[in-house]
Amino acid sequence: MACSDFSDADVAGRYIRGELDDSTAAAYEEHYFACEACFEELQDLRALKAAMERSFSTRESKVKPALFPIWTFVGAAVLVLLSAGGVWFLRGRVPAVPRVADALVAELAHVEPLPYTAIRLRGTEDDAVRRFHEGMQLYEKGDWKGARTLLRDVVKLDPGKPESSFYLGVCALLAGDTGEAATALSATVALGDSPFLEESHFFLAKAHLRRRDLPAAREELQKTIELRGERAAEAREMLDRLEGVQRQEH
Amino acid sequence: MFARMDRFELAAMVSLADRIRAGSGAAEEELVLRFRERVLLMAHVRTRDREAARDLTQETLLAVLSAVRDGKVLEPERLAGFVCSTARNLINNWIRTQKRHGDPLDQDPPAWGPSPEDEYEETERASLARRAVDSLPRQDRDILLLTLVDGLSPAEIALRLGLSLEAARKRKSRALQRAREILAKLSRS
Repeated sequence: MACSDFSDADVAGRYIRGELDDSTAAAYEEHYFACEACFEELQDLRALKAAMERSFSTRESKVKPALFPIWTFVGAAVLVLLSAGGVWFLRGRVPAVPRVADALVAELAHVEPLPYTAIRLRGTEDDAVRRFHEGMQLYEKGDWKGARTLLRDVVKLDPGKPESSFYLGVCALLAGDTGEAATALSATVALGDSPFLEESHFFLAKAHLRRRDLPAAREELQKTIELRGERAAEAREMLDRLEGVQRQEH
Repeated sequence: MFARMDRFELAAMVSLADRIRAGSGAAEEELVLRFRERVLLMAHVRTRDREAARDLTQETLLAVLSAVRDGKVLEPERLAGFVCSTARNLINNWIRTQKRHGDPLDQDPPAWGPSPEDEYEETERASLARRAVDSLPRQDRDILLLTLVDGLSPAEIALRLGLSLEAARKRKSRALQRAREILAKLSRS
């Protein structure tokens, strides 16, 4: 395979993020072992990705709400939240993140682990069910990484189970991977009406807030509200606060 | 499936293997220098364990050197592929061993995934990359965030930013190129 086969398909980026299937990853590895240029590119991309992630993590700790003392950054966050120098994407443009809004968005994007109660039915458990329970045992211990590993397997084995993709999304969010969180939670929504539909919309809103995609976050909060479940009131309050900030800044 | 090396590189691989078989310490060092970072990167990406990646790199290089010394590499022009497959086998064996020991952090072989960036080694390249990112124009930084960190495709970036697909591709390509140019310039200075 030629260098262009890999660069055109953004293989290096996907390799670093662990998104390649095994055969493509193996082919790419064979390639960069022999190709100096592609290996150099891979190393650069890996370094740049790490630098981007560290850069946002560092900026977050330098958020200074003092200019707008009505907002304070609250709480000991479980996750690393994006900072005042971070990215606020509105549809059609990429304006800078205003400082006052950034503290609010960081607060609204905070995620706490959902409590989970295991329900095990009698009878033989298939591989997917067994792995799901093992994954959720790790989830209950706060081992998001370990839980994600098992839940990914479960989703592959049985993609039609909303609880698997839902908890995979939550674990990813708790572990700081908004990309996987958004994918898994969207998959849960796509499965239709389930006990996890409302929570999926709600946590998708959180994932979008972390990415500073406020229009998408508002959309998900609106969908949460429309479902009129347990999260409706909280989603309404979050939406009001976001819209309040937007009115102030315009 | 490996890259088509040009004939000079292929000849260099054959020569390297020959010199190692002849007992050249300098040639062994050359092999290590050439492949160490590649093996380390692969091990790090696949295991997500910095210590294990270092150990596996050592193990791989020792195994390869031993095989080359003993004349067991029958196609020395495919030395790069041999190193790659040796590394992958050792990594997969490690992962299988971890799984057997019931380590909840392990995955089924071939198990690999994104390296935890908080474990990314403090190398000169990492340090220069941070400087490169800080010196990028805002627009480029935003695109790189979407591309490298969030993993969005050009189509998703286009949708997010209200651009055409072609414009999103161009911006992404330019941002990456600019970042790499700055990185190259910093590393030369």
